Amino acid sequence: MPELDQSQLKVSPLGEVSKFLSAHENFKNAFISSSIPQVCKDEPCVLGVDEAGRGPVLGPMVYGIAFCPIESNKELVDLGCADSKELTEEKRDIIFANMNTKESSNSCIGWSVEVISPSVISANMLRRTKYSLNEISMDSAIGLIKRAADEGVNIAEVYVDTVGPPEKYQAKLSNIFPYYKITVAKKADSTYPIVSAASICAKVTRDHALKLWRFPEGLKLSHETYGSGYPGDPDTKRFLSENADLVFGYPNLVRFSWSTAETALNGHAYDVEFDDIDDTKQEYEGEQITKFFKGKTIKGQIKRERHQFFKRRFLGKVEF
Amino acid sequence: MSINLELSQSQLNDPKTNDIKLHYMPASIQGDGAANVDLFFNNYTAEENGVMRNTFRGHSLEGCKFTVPNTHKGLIFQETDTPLDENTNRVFKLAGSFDSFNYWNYDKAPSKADAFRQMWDVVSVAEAMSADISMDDIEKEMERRKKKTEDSKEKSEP
Repeated sequence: MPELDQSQLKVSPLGEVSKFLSAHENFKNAFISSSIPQVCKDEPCVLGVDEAGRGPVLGPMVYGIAFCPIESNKELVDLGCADSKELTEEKRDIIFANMNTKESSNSCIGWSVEVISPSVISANMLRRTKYSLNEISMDSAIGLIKRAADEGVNIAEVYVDTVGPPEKYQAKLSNIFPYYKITVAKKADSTYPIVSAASICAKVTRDHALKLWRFPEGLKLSHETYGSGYPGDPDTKRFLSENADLVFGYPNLVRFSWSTAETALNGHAYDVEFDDIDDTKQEYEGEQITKFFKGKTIKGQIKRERHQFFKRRFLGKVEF
Repeated sequence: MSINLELSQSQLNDPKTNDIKLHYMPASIQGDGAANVDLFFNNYTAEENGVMRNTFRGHSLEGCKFTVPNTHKGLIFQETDTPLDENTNRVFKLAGSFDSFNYWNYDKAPSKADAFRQMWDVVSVAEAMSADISMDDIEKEMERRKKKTEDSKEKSEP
């Protein structure tokens, strides 16, 4: 990811995650992780990958991984790691807290998440050469796996949840990590408890990051006023239509690269045009043969064009 | 029709008008009015290895400080009312002055290749164009041309 600027935290309990999220500069990416249990370095481990907050127009997207020894699968099931979409927010918070505080869990399960800020998402998607959300996601997942491996986790099997076509993603991962047994599947979080654990970590972080968002722009808005961030949420819709700034558009909680945000700005803020968004389109630069037929006024005088020196520098006469 | 620019030395020296923080943006904002620059923009400016970074409407910007050549001064004029009658004189009042501003590029590090940078060549061209010419300079130039024509005659004659 081009934007490497990020802050880091090693934590466990939920309270610390919240404290960290509300103190950190929320336009940067952040990295939060648990400590790594010794058994995860000694025994071969399964590692699950999932994301949260891909679709919303507000707040960060969070990528998460969780890992534990292959033998410890039962502990995940005991914790209640099942399809995270079936779980209520409250339930997820409890499981996350137990995962970090219960002796039987924190001795064998480790996790880490990357919080990808809405400004980083927008800036990447709106580059001159587009860096798509899919690429951002994959690079984040790869980064998290690499990081865990670097810190000594004995990874044997990797399970990844995906929304897109699994084959291409699986081929890419197998290429980067040839020694791991890699499985990319749709709805993996309901099939594999370890993916479900990763999903819970990502979702809990995403929910808290959005709830605890402080606006560097000085807006005093609570979570209730902007809602879940999903484009269909009536609170989110109202927030977008009521909080547009004429010049700057929105605070950086909003993903400007979402068409929802763009449409909502229409009529609520000044139109803005960036210079040469499409400067890949090269115009023919040499002299054209048709120039011999034009360039004269009706009386036959030759029209004088401004010298290249001025044209290249976009210099012209000022008229009042 | 003529245009009057109103400014005084005391205004130019007044620190209140002399310290305007400007941003040269790589986008045209189709509107005119106050902007909450401090909270929505300056707040986010980060600097690393001499390159400043920020975003505007989600687009990433890279920028640097640009200092106005010390032979020049940046001035901002404002016209309060544009007269409807074309023959009336127009009056522009000094609204502020500046010696530097932040120059931003859209997703591209600022460099000498930017048209904006090259625009400043005009300053030296204009200086050469409008510099005073003394009698001495004219004689020198005449001498130079005479020599040039003699040289070319010598080359073609033998």
